[in-house]
Amino acid sequence: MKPCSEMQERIARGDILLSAEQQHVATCTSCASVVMAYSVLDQTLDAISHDVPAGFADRVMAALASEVASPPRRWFERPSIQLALAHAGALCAAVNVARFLARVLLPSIASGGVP
Amino acid sequence: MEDTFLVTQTLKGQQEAFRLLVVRYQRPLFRFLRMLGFQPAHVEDLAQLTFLRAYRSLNAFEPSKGSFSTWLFTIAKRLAAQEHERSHHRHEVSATDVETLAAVSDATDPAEAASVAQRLRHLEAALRALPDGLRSTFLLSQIKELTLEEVAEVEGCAIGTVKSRIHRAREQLRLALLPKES
Repeated sequence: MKPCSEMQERIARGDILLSAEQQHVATCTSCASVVMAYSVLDQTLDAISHDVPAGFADRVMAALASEVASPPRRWFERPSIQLALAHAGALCAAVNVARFLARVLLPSIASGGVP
Repeated sequence: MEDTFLVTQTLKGQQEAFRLLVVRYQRPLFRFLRMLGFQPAHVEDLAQLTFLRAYRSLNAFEPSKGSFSTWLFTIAKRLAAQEHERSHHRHEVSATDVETLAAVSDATDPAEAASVAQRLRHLEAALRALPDGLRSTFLLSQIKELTLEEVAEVEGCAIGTVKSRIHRAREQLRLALLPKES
């Protein structure tokens, strides 16, 4: 049999006691007091609801099935690719505007033309 | 049937094998997420997400590096942490929620039910007050499917640290449930 100090440490840690250890606790006031001290905590922990809703496994499997059934996105349908393409488009537009200003509009104004 | 066998069968295309894994771990997973402080409706979403993530990454699971349960709860822990960060969905137990919790307890006497509800409220508050490391380790230790060695693996610490954290967490929670002297 383990010494009381070791057993009390295990009780405090919430370890499951062997039947021989439980028999010891029933006769040892020191160990029984530690069990009593933690009994309220253990009962309250057990009262926390963790019931699984009915049909949960079915819903998981249905979600898996729909995931497997739906075809994977094509590369250009990925949000990151679409964002990059949008940025590239905006950049091209900005470059074209700048080129227009630099080559056509500004020289035209400089030479006395009306914009 | 062993978890690894079910994983192998799933990878071979037997989706029903994965269902057995879901059925096996749904209850401890719900308990873990519930105790982490998520509301019941949110727990179902997170649990489903955990299983979907596990299914998608099943190829990456290496039995030689640890058990399926360790791997699954590592995924759950990460998802829960991300969810906490994203939405600050930290559990605030409403009175209704506590009543729900109390309703499922064994208390049949109204006075006893009220007492259980109050203890649950104190426990939830005490759980929230625990430092992250202590709380996470303690809650994982409450999952009977995980050994202390597996908890240590999920937490990335030594088993001695796990034991010490559990001891400290339980002591803090025990003190929080002591009747307050007015």
